[in-house]
Amino acid sequence: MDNSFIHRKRVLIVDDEPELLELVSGILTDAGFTEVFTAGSAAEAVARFRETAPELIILDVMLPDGDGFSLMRQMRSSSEVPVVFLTAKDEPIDRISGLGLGADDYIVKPFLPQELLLRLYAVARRTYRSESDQIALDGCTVDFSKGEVRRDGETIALTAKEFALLEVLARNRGKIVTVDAICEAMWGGDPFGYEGPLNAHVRRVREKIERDPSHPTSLVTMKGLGYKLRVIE
Amino acid sequence: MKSLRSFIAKNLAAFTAFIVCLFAVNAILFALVFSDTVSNGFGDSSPSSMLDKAEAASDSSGMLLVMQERLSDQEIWAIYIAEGGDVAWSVGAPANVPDHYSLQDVATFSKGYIADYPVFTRSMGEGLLVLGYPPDSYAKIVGNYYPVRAVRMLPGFIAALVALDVLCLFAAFWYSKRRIASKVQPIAEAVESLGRGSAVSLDASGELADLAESANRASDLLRRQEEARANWIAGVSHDIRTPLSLITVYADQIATDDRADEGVVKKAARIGAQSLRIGNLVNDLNLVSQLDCQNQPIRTESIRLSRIVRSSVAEAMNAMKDDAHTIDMEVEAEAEDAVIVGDERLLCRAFANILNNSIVHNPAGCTIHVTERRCGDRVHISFEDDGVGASESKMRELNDGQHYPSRMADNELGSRHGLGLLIVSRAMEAHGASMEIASSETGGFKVLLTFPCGTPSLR
Repeated sequence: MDNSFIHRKRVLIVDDEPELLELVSGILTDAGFTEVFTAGSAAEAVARFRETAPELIILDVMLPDGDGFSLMRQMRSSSEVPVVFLTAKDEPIDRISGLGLGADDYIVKPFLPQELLLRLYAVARRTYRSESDQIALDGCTVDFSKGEVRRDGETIALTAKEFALLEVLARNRGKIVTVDAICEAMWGGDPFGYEGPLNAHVRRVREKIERDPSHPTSLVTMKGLGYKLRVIE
Repeated sequence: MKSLRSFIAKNLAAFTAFIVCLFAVNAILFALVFSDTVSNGFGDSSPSSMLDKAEAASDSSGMLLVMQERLSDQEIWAIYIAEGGDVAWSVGAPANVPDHYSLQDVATFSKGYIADYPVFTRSMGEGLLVLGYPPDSYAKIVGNYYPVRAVRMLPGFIAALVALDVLCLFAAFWYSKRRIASKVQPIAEAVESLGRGSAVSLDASGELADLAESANRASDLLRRQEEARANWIAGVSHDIRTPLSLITVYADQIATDDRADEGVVKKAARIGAQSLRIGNLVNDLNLVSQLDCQNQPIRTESIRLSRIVRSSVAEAMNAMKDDAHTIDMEVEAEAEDAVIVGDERLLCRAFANILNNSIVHNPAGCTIHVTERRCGDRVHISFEDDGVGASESKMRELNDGQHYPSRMADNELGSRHGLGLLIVSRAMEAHGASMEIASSETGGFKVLLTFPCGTPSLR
């Protein structure tokens, strides 16, 4: 998976613990990030934000001179920058999932370096679609920037729904995505009762990406749960 | 409030016993006081007995001397009125007792007195024998006639009166007890609530205001202590996270360092895994504490259960590192649209804990069957594994809510179920749902959750 375009993004890490700042920035620079900035307080974060115009922000919830949520609101008033929270699992839900506030994800402390990176990549990929935003499947390539599938030198266009279906699966590549989550991505809300239309779209996508649509190897069914997309890394 | 009712019932029984005793004491006292009077007043010297003896010892000419002495011993006098109304003889009669009596005189004194002496008569031969008793010895009721109907009614009337009195006494007693109970009931309920650790707020007015205020104060104290405890745990849980993150990340970096020695790599991996475990434990501890303290806001939104069960199962499967564990999932068609009102995050946490419990306790692998069924207005979600299961006593402890038994043998320490199932049980309580732990058909572990639910009106 090509993450080089993400590594070029400017990242701002805000946490009041110097050791944690050092740790996280170490993980990022080791992974290949080239521009990593840190701030130890909300005030410093605001100053750094203005100076560096970061393209990704990692934010602690508790800061000595304020909280991460108000800081995010402040930054969001002038920028669409993606924000990932570093938080305790047991923070009250409406605050963490801050999704209402527009947070893109949250990472629970303590965390593993790999988990932190995967989450950051996923968020960055969602926000900054790369020029070469494509995935390789068994026997074909899906190019999300053009919305098409390339197979045996042939180019097949994806419909909007097929694109949405493949995108939600690709975003969670290698993982089971429930029918509910897929329907939500395709139709919004909690679209109960869309399994029929979903099956039809899955069938059509398989016809486009699978060698043998009746024996799929890329878009596989997880009985009773949903689907999984096997991507060749 | 059973204790209060039984308290009143016991009091009522005691009151009944008291009334019975009262009657008995009355009867004994009456017997003691009047037995003497009865034997004296109606014994040997009683008018009827004396008249019998005097009649036997007299004739129209006089009375035997023995009898005369006997009469004078009792201060009784006697006269004999002959046919014409003249006194034929007298024994000890005072001076103010006339010696001639007309027909009217006889009619009058036979029911009453001669010169204040109560007198008793007996016809003897052609005349009338009259015995006169000392002035204050006997009371004669002059107007002693009553309608027979009234006399016949008397026993029944008295009995009814006594019954009515007893009834009134009981009613008064019952009313007063009820009144006390109604005043005491809120306080008793409050004490019961306090015993369960719930907060109370009583109206501190009226006669028992002091008690109500004390209960309120106790509740307030309890709440503040609970809050202090929860805040303390939250603080520790927060502060421990950064050092844990450092340990986890550095351990992971050593464990994934190609240059590191194999033994060091293994140890570092263990350190990393254990610090993640500490992190989870601290999270769980904090969540339980917040739920106990009711600090954790339970968000109430409409949730389609099948959606979050599926997502929890998918998440658990996505997190699996090997193929030793498998989860299969089945949602009955009728259960698919079952909706409850609750906190999605808390429920996801509960489902994840159950799945994780089966995975952690069966390191050699197992299959977990997750099913969602609907029975009327209830939804049953069952998590059943074919793993090693738990002993009867362990399951009893878990069902009783003893997730951390106070006295646990050292050899059990390794196998204890952390706070995971305690969170499940608290989360279920918060949603009005129930949790039941049992053995699965294959001897594995089974958790059955039962939710009250509805169906969305739209769609």
